[in-house]
Amino acid sequence: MANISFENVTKRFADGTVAVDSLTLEINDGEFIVLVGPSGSGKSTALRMAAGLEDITHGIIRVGGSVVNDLTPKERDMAMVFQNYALYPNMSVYGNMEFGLKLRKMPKQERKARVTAAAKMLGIGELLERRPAALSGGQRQRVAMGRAIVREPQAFLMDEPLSNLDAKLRVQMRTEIARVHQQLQTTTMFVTHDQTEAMTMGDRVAVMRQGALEQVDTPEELYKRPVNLFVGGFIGSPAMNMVLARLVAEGDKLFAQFGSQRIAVPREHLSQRKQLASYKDKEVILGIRPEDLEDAEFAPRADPDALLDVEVALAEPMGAELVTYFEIDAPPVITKDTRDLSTDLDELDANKGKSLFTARIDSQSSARDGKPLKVVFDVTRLYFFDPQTEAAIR
Amino acid sequence: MTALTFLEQGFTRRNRRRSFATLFLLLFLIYFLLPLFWLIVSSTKSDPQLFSTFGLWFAHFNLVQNLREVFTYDGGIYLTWLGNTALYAISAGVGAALFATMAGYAFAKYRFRGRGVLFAVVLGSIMIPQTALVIPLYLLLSKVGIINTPFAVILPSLISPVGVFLMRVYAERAVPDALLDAARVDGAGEFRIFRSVSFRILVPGFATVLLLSFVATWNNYFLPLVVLSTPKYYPLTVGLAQWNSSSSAGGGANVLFSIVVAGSLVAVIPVAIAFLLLQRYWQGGLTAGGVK
Repeated sequence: MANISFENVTKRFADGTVAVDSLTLEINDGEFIVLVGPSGSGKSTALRMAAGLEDITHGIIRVGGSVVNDLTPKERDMAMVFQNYALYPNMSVYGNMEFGLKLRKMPKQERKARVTAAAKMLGIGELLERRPAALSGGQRQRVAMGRAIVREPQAFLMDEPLSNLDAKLRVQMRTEIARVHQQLQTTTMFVTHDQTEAMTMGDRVAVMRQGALEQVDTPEELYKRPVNLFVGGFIGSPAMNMVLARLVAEGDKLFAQFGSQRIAVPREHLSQRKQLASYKDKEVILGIRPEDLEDAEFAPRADPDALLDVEVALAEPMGAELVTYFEIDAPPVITKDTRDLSTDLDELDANKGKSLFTARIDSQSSARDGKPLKVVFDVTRLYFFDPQTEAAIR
Repeated sequence: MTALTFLEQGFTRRNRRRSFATLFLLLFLIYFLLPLFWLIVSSTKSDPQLFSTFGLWFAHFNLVQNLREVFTYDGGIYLTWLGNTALYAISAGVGAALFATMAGYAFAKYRFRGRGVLFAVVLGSIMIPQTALVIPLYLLLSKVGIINTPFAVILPSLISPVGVFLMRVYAERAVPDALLDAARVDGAGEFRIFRSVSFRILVPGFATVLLLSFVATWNNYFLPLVVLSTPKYYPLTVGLAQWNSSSSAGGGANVLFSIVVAGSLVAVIPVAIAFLLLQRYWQGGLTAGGVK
């Protein structure tokens, strides 16, 4: 087991694209770190550089303190789990798990002991004689995990290992991987594009975008204090609502005005964010998470200045909550970031001058499609970003 | 016209098209099988009958006698030729398949300088007929001093540009990159990966190229004719042709037609066996389950 450190690591491919741009990241011994980001963010390339499968254009990668830049994958002693499992089709499950040990000339007895132990840990003891073709997706994933575990490597590198599984299995394997990590305490780099996976699995989460590291922090910190608009929008599901607002002072009160509506901004935000005062009478990007919005009926003591009158566009009953969508008559935040995040660009363009908000409200709410609704903002949980730099206002 | 008659017409038209296709295939079948049938029939005839009886039907059954003569004539040299042919075909088949598999795999899975140019050269060499190469080949082989040895037949037969092309296409499709990465991370060197992982997946392609080169070398007449001059190194093709021409040239003094025909029949059998044996390797989907 070892720590892994990236120092200004850059990867430029032959065609000139920069997949990873000066990445500096310190992964502690025994840590479970998740690299997350949209496709093309360089997270997989970073992982492959750590594995030795991609050359490093610039910078240094150290494992356990020593530079590994010029070491072959074999010499780095890492184990990798691939998205498509990459099991050897011509070998049995046992053969697959044993292959790496055989190459390291481990005695047969010890190989057997390790494979058996790992198989037992993963509940695949019955499958050892089978070929990969005769296994289900979940079983294959376990075998791929087993192949990594038996190696007892310096680190586990996992490249979207759960993407090919169906939703239920994915959740199950998530806990399984977490359990294995708890048991073995092996340094693990886990790549995913799924922010839920990132939040639930990582000791720390590194959010990447276009080859650059945006923020690395604990899941809680990322959620509470995103450094910029991109991280704010990427972490959390459904995504954070954002709207272009103007900060206006009225008497000793501060309001965020957007479209025809406004909400109060409590004083505590000003004391927590020293720069925020300088945005008075200027535009900011106001962010509020869907879970921090509520139907006013279920928040009877809410400040009337935190209320918004809206018309429900769509209400989706989820059982435990009601996910409602409504429009705000203020221009949406269209930046490169929101474009990167948006799955449907047409939607953004079609809604010029209007922002679509999402709220997770009480399931008992009477909100229905086309009906008016009073929405309460939890004004203590507002986010502020600079419209120009897109950085969080601190 | 009612809908029913329309329907009926559609059916008959389709049936007619189908029976036309069947007829077409039948003609092909006859075209290919007729010579073989002639060979089988003729190999049972004695020399005089070969010319006096109807070619496509049996006369007096003389096959056993013919076969005995095939294997005993000229001190039993036919067996030597059969052995030579087997040696040339097997070594060229296995060798060509192995080289083609390695080369095709390298073209498919490695990025290296000159890959495109090299592959273009391989493709280009498919277009050059063997006849055009025989003279330079002869000069080369004689320079090295292996003219009139088995190597003169085997070495040129080890090269199969078509095989390289086939294996490249096959390897590109059959061997996923992630599998190679997995093996690298597991600690395997490139050759070990080829041996333990990739080659196993490429076996159906390997068998195909093996069979193609085996048959090509087995039937090759021109190359051994040019590079060999001692009868004990001859393969069957050259040996039988020599018997055939000596019986034509001898003015009837040395009539060997019946044993040439019977010898040809014997020569066909191993190829048929090779086909049947290698058939079971033609099963795709070997990678199924390795990667999604």
